[in-house]
Amino acid sequence: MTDLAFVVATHAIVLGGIAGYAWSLRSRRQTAETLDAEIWRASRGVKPPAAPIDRADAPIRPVALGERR
Amino acid sequence: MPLIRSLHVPSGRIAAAALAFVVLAGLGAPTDRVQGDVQRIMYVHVPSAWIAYLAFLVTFAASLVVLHARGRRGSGQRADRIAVSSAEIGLLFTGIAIVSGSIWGRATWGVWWDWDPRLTTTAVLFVIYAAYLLLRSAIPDPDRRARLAAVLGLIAFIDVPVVHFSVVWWRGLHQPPTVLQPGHPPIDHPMLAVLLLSVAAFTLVYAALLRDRVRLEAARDEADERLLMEATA
Repeated sequence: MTDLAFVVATHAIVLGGIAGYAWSLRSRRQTAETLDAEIWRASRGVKPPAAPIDRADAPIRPVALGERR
Repeated sequence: MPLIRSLHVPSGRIAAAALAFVVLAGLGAPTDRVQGDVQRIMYVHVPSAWIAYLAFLVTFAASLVVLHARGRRGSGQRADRIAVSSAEIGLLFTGIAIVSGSIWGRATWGVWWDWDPRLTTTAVLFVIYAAYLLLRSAIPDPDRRARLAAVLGLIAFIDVPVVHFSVVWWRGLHQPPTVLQPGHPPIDHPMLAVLLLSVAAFTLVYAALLRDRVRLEAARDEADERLLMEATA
């Protein structure tokens, strides 16, 4: 490897590292701004709130003869 | 970053311009008589190490503010954002300093790595701040996370002067300080000028990255608040 090749390789790593990090900052910020509630809950172990029971939609079970309500 | 804000230029452009300047100035600097072209690695290696020191100093100062505020109350929240942001950037530049130094070492010493005091203490520095970031990711409670990380942010900084003075205290392959040597710096003036300009350009890049990283932390805090309200509604 020539001296200049060492210099070029070093500059490529330095510039690539900084540019890659800057890109990751933008990408992570977009993720934070558009974070889905379900993913957020899963990442923190928070249970989703229980869905309210709509009594009008409750299935009507036929009552057998002699059964007490 | 009031300076960058007052310029009304996106931080990415400032960083790109500063880095382009570093490359051009490094290539235009005089060639070293002994090492030849490979010495030009100095114009990115030394500023990277300087930014690592600066970033960890900022984390240290921000950690003091967090502990004074007893967590993320009041100014503690902003200080905590700055502390984690600066630590992450410091870790990046420590990594860059290690890799660029390794390439320079291969060209001049003939080895990629040596357990020299400067190299070893720098590797320890990298591991300590990686642990700092891991600790943060392992604690879900933001207030507790801020306080514990602040304690580690103070302790971790002890290694920075050890890294800097390792070349004075112990014998090794790495050369002693050049620019910060007391008395007359033993470096050619045009080379010193390019090096100092590179340090200034890297400092600008650090400021731009820190601004964006702090914004990311603010966006995460906002997402946490918004989604916590949704989850408990």
